[in-house]
Amino acid sequence: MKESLEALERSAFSAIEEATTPKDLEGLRIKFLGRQGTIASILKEIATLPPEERPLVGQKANILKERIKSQIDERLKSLGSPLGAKAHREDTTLPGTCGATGRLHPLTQVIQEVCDVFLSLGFRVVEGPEIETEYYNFDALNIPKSHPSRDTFDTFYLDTTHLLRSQTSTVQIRVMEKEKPPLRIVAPGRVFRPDAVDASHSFMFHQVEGLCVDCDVRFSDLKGTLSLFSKQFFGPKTRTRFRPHFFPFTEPSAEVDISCILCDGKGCRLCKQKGWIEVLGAGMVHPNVFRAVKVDPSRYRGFAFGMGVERLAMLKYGVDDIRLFFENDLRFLRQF
Amino acid sequence: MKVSLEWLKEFVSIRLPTASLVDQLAMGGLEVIAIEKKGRDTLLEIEITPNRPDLLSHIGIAREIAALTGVSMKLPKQPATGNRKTHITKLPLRISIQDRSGCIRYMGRLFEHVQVGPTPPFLKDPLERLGFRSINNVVDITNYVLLEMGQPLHAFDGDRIEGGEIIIRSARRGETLLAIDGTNYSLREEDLVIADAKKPIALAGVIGGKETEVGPTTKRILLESAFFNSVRVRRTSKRLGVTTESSYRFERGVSLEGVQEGSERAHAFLSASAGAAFVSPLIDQGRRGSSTKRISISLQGLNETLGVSMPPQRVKSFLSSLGCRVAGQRLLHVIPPHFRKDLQIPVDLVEEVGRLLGYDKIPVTTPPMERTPLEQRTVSDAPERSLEEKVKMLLVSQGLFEAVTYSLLSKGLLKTFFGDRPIAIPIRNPISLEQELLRPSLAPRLVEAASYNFRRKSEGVSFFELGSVYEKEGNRYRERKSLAIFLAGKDAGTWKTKPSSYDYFDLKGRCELLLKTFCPFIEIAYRSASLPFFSAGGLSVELLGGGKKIGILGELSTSIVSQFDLKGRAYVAELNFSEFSKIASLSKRVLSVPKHPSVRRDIALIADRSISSEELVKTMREQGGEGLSEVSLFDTYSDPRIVPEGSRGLAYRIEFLHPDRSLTDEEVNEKYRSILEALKKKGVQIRST
Repeated sequence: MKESLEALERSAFSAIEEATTPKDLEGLRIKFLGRQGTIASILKEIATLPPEERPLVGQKANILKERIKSQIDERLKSLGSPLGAKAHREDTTLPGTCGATGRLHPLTQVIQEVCDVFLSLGFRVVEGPEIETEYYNFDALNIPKSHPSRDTFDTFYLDTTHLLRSQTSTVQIRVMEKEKPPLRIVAPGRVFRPDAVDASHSFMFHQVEGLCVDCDVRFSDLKGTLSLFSKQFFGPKTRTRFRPHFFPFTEPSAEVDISCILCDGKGCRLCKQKGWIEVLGAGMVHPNVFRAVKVDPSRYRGFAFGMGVERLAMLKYGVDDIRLFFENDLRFLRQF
Repeated sequence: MKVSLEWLKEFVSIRLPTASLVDQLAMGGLEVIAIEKKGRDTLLEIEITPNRPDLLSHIGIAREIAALTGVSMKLPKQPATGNRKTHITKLPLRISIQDRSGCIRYMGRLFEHVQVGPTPPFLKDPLERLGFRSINNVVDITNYVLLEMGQPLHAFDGDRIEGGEIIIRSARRGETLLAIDGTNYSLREEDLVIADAKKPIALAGVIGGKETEVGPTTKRILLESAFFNSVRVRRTSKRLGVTTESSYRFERGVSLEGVQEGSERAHAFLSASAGAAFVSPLIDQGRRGSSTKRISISLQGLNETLGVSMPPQRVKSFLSSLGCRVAGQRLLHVIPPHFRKDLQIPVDLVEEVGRLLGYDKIPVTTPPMERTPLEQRTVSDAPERSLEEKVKMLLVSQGLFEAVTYSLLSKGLLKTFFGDRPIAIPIRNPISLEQELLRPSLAPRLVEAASYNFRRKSEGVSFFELGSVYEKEGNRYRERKSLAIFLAGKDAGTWKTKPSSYDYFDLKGRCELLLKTFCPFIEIAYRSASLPFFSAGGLSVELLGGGKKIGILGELSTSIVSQFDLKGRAYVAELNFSEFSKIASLSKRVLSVPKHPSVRRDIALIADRSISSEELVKTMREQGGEGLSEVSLFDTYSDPRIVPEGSRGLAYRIEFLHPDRSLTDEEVNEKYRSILEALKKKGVQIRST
């Protein structure tokens, strides 16, 4: 009796597996589970068994009945699925699905990444206003009254004293007016200059400004800090080069190059065969800037730096036209 | 500044291959931006920073190369003197400076018996290699001296100066000048001119006049060497759009001493190569020389600022190589040469020493630890910023793309959204129509960005932007952060769920998600309102948080939708992010997870359309009291066989929960019945229970 139950299970399962239409399965259901079916006849036979075997066989028959039933149901489900009657399994090559997600703008991602590096070095993130006065944009930054950058060709004016800041260095002044050294800040933000728009110019762009003031800050510390930043941002193999330059608000001043991220310094189209790419302006805070915010330049020294976010993003992501950042073409944004 | 390598070699010996020279110059702060082979010569285009006008000449660059490569300078050779007779007669010319702020020094030399003709090759060839067209010996000599020494010079035809007088003055209203470029310039009072007794004959430092131009028939010349105010020259040059070799150098500043050196050098060449005889003593007006300034700097301070330790001899030799006179050991007393007006204070010398040492020789060090006591420190001054980052991530997770649009916009674009209300701050000096105004709202530029995508076959656009908007209150400019959300067209869908059109509730849902996440304990309400760019009589509401207006949301007007080629319907929300951040909180308060199961009941009802969902929920909550934990809408229906005209069907699920124990059926049923009774009293028909 026990053996015939096992044989029945095998033949039933293979028959179910081979069935290809719901109709076949219905036939099997009647054959095995119907009122006149195989299981029913086994249950009838139980009466002929010795009383002590009856409960065990009965129990087994009932379990088998359930198993066949669920096997048929499952097979039926797979036949009834939209994949068609012939398919045996799901097609795993169909695309996966998930809820729609957007993307952060690449400029936001670059700003976050830059700030994260400096946050880890003990800098704080601060912001300042975009509508500024001549005092914060020029006077306090040691830019003489007659300096060309004050011309209406280089700065957007709202009236005789108010303007749209042309650099985030304004935030240095605002912070040092309120707080005394030691200080370490980075200030990301939007700046404006009346440039005609083309592939490499925009009348609006973003900068991140940095400032570190203490009694013993050295030019060599500036080199250390920005070398680390370049490696963090552009990759561990990046080398950094400091060249003398001129900015009214720093002295000594430097322009900072990184080894070309495409050719690693060998010379290519991106670096115009120079092997180096300029990415930053930096220097030691000019004593006149300290005087403007009533910090004693004989007691404190500091370094400051500024970088163009669009430029960093263009280098990092291989973007060759600055306008792409402001067109907001979804085919562009989707790639970030 | 373009220089000839052969010319430089007259003053300094250069043994380095060009590539190494270019590298050394770059590391010294002189970036070579182009190299051009010209026969045996090599031309270098060098970028000169505005603080170094002394480098705008071959002698200047040669001095720099000598200092950077550690070799000495050779002085320029004086030309063989020809007819150098000086017969001083009665001065036939009077020079006066009327505008003393415009003209600091003016030196005139008058020459007679000038033979204007071709230029000898030793003067002409270098000029031509550098792209200067040879004109005649006199003009070429002035250009030669300019390129050699950096001092701009001008030669006037002495016989065409009327009234025997040269006056340096401001232009008078209505005056004009026909310049040597053939253009007739209208002058303004801020322009500085060189005039004779009658009229302007040159725009000081910018361009000479046609009438007094030196030509083949010229016999007498007045050679001008001067120091004009850099700002005046720049303003005139910019306004008239004339940039000359001369204006470029005056803008950056010449030196008082250079005025004389240049004049003397040209004198020598004129005598040697143009047969000119010098008449008259030098006519020299204005300041003669600058006072020498002594800068004292401590060696220790210098070393500490750079992060190096150099002995005094090393520092002194660097400074001497630049032409400075240096004395002292631990405290150095330095007198810079007259042509280095940029060296004023000790840190200027620090830069010079660092530059000559080479920034690459300065070590890389770690800044000192921040010493602000930890208990006084905060990690970020901008809690708003961390809120911003979290808000952005939440919106991104909801399928929105972050847009960054211009803060400036055109009057036309603003008008499309806000009509004629003058709400935006104008820019005084825009250079295009795109930059006329500061945006008072993010919506216009965001809709424009959406339009850009729809015109490129996009089926749906979902954007958000977080940025500043600007307005003027009285005399004060205000700037604050704003957050806009934009939805139009269809969502992306998948092969399992077909794309569906965005609607008002997709927008509202995203706003509510923000509020639920960041302001969970603030009461939120909506108030219907008629707003500028939303469809008239359509869906537009004001969003209130804690009773204060914090934003608007609704459907964009059909005229804007069609003007911008948006597909289907478009929805915009704009939140005052400053107000939002006042009620938002990043800290969380958690309620304990219920220990006992909740009991659910569904209510399907048919209500008149005049009764809002908000009102129905309020009724249910009132009757449900404390035990009612949640009311949620799960279906709406409008089958006309069931729902009469003017009504709608709504199905709510309500949940009851007791914090400490299981609720009994009787308790729940009692509350449920009272909810049904209250709804019925409002004229609501209950479909099934």
